[in-house]
Amino acid sequence: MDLNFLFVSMLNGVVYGAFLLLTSLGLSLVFGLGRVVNFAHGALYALGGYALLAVIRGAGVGYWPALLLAPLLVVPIAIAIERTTIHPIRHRSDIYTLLVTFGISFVIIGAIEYVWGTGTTLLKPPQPFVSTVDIFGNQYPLYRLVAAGVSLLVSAGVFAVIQLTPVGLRIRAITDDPGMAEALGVNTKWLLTLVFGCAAGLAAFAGALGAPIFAIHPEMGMSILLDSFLAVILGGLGNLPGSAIGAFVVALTKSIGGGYIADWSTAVLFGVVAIALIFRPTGVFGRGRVA
Amino acid sequence: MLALSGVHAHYGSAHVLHGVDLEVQSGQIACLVGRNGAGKSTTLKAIMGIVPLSDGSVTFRGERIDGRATHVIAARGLAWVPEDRRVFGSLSVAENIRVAAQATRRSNAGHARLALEFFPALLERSRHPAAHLSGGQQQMLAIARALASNPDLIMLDEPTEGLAPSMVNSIRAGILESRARGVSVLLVEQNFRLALSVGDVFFVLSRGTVVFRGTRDELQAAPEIISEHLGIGRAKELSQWHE
Repeated sequence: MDLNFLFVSMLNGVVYGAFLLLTSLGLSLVFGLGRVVNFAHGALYALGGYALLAVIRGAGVGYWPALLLAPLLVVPIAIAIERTTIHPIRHRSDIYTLLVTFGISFVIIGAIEYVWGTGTTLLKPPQPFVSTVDIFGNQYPLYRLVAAGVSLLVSAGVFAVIQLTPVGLRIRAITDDPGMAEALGVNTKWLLTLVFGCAAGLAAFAGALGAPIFAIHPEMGMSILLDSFLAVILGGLGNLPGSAIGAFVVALTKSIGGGYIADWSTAVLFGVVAIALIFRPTGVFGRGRVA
Repeated sequence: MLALSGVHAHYGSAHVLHGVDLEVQSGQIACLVGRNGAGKSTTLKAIMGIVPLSDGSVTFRGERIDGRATHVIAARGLAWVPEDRRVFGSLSVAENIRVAAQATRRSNAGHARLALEFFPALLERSRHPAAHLSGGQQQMLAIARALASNPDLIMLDEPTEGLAPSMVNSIRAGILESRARGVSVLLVEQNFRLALSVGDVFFVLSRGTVVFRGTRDELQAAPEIISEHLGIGRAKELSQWHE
């Protein structure tokens, strides 16, 4: 066995896991709060990548300021989507929001293709992170490590907000029992709107941050959406620490598996999740809900 | 303080409340009693806006609150302790209290502290997850959590159901202490003996309609109401409850 190959595959898995962590947290938060299975999350991730392009090329802004601006452009769009499409049907069964967000996903992708075309755009990593670093004799792109570090920092920030702030406390209460939280005076509907917007912002941030690694194309969010769902289901729907662990399990399985059994890695991943759910229907790592 | 006038409510096609009229004055402990399925819990849910009214009105401190969102009604100063307690199991005891204290502008950290001190047994377990508490402790927490929102009126839905006698005494003391602190109480209670020992006014609900309203003495002077609508038959039993 080539240990170097295994090591690089693991490193790729950790980097991808850091991105998956950002998208999974948003997905899990939105489900936990409103039982909204957000199939538009991947499209919002893609929108982040394109918002980055628009800001860099349209406004002539540098990469790092654009990285902060791009999600800020996506958040109001997501809030508008939530208020106009999800909010009015929240009293209906979960399948309605699932279908609506599925439709929204195609609308967003269609809009991206209409505005920016269907091609793939490659973006160079920003200076001074274009180079590679030597890790145990392997030349590894520096930007990947930096981006993974940024993802982990932002995710830690999300956890801190959830665990340490009053708004985080309300979010945890709503995740536990939305009706009771509302009866205590918490405006659960507006909080869901806010969290939906912030979750979209996180996805857009991940899309923008990953643009120099994964390239930008209209359907760039589809693969990460699927992986994020697997991570969230594996961790327990609505269970944030579980989702975080799930993100790295999925990313490492996919990355290492992809290196050895390329065509079968996705099938193996689905198999692992399916078997896990047979024995732990509320998620392997915790007390998530059965969707 | 709280007035229901001609309140009708449905669960789907089932007509549950048939014109409920009820008033709670400031500083009172009002008891809503009746057999299972009479509509007591539905009345509380209708007041909180959880069950929509088909007809009638709910007025709280002179303001119509029917049709308002539940969180808005809570922010007006109404607190509800549901029958099944519904504490946030994944949050600690202190966090349960803080959620209520931070939810509206009516309350603050001081109210949270007072609520936590309301039941000393909770203070000792303030860092424990609420899911790990006993049924009685969860009931105490549910009441303390409601009080943390600094309400003008607290509605308790069968707070002693399934509790050991010692816990029932603690809950009873808590109800009386609430009133002593200036919080009015609307109590739904199957434990008729407890209701008689704390209530100022009584409303007997039967099949979604208030069939009796009056003081403790007036209720005790109406054995036919007690027999027919509460299922308590003999005067001897009644006198035992009153002791």
